[in-house]
Amino acid sequence: MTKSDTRVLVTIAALVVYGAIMPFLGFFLTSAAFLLLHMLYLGVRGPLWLTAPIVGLLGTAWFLFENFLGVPLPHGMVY
Amino acid sequence: MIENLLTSAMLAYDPLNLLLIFVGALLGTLFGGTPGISATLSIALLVPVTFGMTPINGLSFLGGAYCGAIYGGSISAILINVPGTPAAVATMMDGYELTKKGQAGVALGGAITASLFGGLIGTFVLLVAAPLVAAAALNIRSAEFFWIVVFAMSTVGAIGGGSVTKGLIAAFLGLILGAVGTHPFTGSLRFTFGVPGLYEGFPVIVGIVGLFSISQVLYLCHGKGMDKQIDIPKIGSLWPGWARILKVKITYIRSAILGTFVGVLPGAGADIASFIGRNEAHRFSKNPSEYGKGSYEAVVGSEAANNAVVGGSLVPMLTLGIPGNAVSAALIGGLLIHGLLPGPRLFTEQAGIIYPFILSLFAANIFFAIAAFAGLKYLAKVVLIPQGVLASVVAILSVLGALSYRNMVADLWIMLFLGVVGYVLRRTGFPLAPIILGIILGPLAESNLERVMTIANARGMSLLEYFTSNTLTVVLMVMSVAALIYSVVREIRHQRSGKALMPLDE
Repeated sequence: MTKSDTRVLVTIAALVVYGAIMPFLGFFLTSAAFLLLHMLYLGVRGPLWLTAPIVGLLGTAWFLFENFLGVPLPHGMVY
Repeated sequence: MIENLLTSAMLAYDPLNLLLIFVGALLGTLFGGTPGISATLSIALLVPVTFGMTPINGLSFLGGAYCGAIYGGSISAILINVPGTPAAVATMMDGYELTKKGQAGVALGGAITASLFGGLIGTFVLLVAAPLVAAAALNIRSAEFFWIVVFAMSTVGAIGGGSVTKGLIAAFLGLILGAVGTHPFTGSLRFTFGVPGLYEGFPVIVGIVGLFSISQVLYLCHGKGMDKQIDIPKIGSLWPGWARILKVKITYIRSAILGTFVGVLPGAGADIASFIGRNEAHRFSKNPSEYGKGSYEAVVGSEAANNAVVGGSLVPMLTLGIPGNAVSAALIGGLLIHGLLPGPRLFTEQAGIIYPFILSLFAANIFFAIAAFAGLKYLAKVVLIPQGVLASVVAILSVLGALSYRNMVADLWIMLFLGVVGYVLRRTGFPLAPIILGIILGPLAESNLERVMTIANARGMSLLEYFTSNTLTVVLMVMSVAALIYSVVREIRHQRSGKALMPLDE
């Protein structure tokens, strides 16, 4: 098994865990955790690359879906 | 007719709609310009954003993204020798050579002008041809429609880029996936395994997000998330000059027409059109020796063709519900969420939505060209995004796409399942586009066949007797068989010559 195969399998596993946790933590918290951990795992470094996607993507999603479009996303116990 | 067009133009070109077309074209260009995000993915990921919009606004936005994404692929192809979308592979061959000679601006300008021209021609053909096809299609009976669908499926192998056998296997896999859900006539459930989320069959948009984007996420995880430093070369002036443009005006026109035609064919998309456009330009060229060494004509030849595909691919998609390629299959998802069922009736019952949508595509082409001429330096920055960031972000965007469809967590699992399946298939050389065609066309073929069987039964004829009693049906049957035979011959010839086939999937 090569290194890239490992990365693929870990990503699949991470997505399965993501889906299992989401009903409890809600879309936003679970996604933030996934983005941070997955990017770190893949070797992304630097404060800008690690924060901008999380803030930008989830911020846009929150604004667009929850406020503007009125499409609800799964919420959990905290949010 | 003229009055209708004026009303439609007022709806298409009202300020809010123009703004949405512009945003769509800009986002499409950025997505398309990002290596790893294809045009299909761009549409699939942007469909959920249109949920709360009116149908005209939503479709115009997606149309803008479609045009922009096909164009955008050329940016990274020309600048860093990595195609932004598979549609730009053919452009890369000469575009990057020009960049190496310090003429990046000329190549980029050629790509913008050719994409704009091709896009406008394709849209014009769509505007003229679609109503005619739709009017003719209203008279098509079930037997003929069934065979049109079969013909569409059989061309997958004939025109597709990769192995014919694998293309056909993929198409059959799609048909099986398309059979999941409630039987259209009896209402009994098939292959749902007790999952309520599957009762309505595989939702098209969840299927596309899973197959294309999750498999792409896994592909993006192959390399290290952040390895090499990418340098964007100096661009210079983008305007190629009238002299250069007029010298190859025939290439602009030829590729635009070829691209539109390839777009109409069910099995082929922008990737194949750009290869055909470039090859034909080469064949008729006055300077064929320049090809591969940085020919402006070659860039035009591929870029005019791939953007012309947009209009062409929407002809069968809107009038018959048969997508011309994977991107327009994703666009069907966008139609369905607004309750619009593609087919001939769209042009009579929903004319007030469809004509403004078609007209909006003219604006979309003009907008991506303006955005590119004005801000290419900034648009090109998307190539700097590290793969690791892309992989994670596309994963979450896919989740958003699957969840917002009907807010069911089950869709997340369906998406993940199809994503892993899609990844394994791609790794083993199977194309994904025929699977989506199968999922969409399977139910269409089945419901028509059921109707045919009822009619044939009532007349006391066997199915074959009924089919052969109609000339048009026989012609379609012969065409389907011919397409299959042609595919097999082509496969054998390719295997003997040992030449690599061109890559598939948009």
